[in-house]
Amino acid sequence: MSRNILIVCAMALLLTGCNSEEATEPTPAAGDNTPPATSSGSGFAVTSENTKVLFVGTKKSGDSQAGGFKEVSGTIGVDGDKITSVNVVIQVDSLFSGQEKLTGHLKNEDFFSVKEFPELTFASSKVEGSGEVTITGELNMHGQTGEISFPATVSVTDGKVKLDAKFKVDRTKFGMNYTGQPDNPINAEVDIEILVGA
Amino acid sequence: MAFVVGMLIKTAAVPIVVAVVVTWLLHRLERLKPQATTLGVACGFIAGWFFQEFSVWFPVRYLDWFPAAALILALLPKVSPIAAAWFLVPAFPKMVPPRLWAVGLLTVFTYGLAWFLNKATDKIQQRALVGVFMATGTACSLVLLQSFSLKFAQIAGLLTASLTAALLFANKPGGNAKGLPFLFFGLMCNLMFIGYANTSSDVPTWCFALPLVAPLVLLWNPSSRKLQAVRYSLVVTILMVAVIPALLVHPPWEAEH
Repeated sequence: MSRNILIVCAMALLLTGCNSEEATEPTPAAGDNTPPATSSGSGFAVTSENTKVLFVGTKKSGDSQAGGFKEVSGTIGVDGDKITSVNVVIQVDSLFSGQEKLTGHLKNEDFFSVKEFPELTFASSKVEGSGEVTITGELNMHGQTGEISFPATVSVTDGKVKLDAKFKVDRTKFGMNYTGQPDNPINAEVDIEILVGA
Repeated sequence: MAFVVGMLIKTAAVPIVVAVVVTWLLHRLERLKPQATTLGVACGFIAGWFFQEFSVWFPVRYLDWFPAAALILALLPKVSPIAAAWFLVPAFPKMVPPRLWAVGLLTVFTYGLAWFLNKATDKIQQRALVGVFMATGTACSLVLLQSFSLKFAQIAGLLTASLTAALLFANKPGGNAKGLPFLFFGLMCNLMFIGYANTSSDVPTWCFALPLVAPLVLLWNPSSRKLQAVRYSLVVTILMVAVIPALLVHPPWEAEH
């Protein structure tokens, strides 16, 4: 019998021996030392250094929690003083918030399922207007794709793009249905702020 | 914390009621009596599952296969662990170990744990077996909660709550719980692996596996009362060794969001 137990314990060790992947150090958030934006051909490079992607989640009571993503990349198509397209990839594992527990919870299955869906992408299908523009495109988040449309203030000067957008995204449309406390549920709509060239 | 406790109580109500009613009904059918408890627990788990906000009728993602896995583990206990692992193990891009390895390891792990205990159900007091399963399920739920997933903790809670029926209907050794170890380990081993594969927490990897080996202590079946007490103390010790480090890395008494 003791031999049998030893065999099973060995199997347990086999499983526990499978170490999780080393956590990678997140890149610094866009800060005061933001380098000037660079343009690449007719496209403007969106980088973690020149772009901030922030969010604020709120509860029914009005309580709010802010956070964002540190690793962002992509391009903004430029034609003269207008932008023609916006394509962005966000590494979801770079998510941050003010609290360690909240960050861990947001990355887990109840929200972003970061191990299953490590990237969040946005690809515009049309950009309407100049200066005050409306950007429409496909947002792929949490393994689900949906069309969103949001207003943005854009300026293009000497090849540098500045973009400021504030809008709301309904997370439940992307399969994030966790509600939290029944008497004080988390609102479905999350406030998003994107600052490029800040 | 009060919210978490309240949610776990809410999670427990449906599986307990359904598991008890189904087990009671199946007890009346002589042919199904040997598996009455196992089928009752599976039905309780499945009913509880479909009361959760994350349940879907048709499986799309790996998690959605839990009800089907519970059913086949209860109906065909000895052949289903590989099927359960196949459907429940996720295919994450950078998962360690890779999916096929994980399926193999989990199948061997589940068979290893369940086969020994299932074989010994004639010798183990059923109430002791179910009690240790419930303690293990609770420990697993706590580890999953500490790894930042309320959903996984809820799933562990559903199975643990369903086991109440097995505790209530526990009779003589080997009475009505044939296949129960396969159901319990088939679901819990896969769930703990899913918890480990998803987590971004600092909960040590071994905390996800250690609680699962605690029921093996029941294979040691001493006759003296003193040694029986030592046996249960050993179970509790193993579970504490798994849970306490998980609690300490993210203390629940510190500020919560």
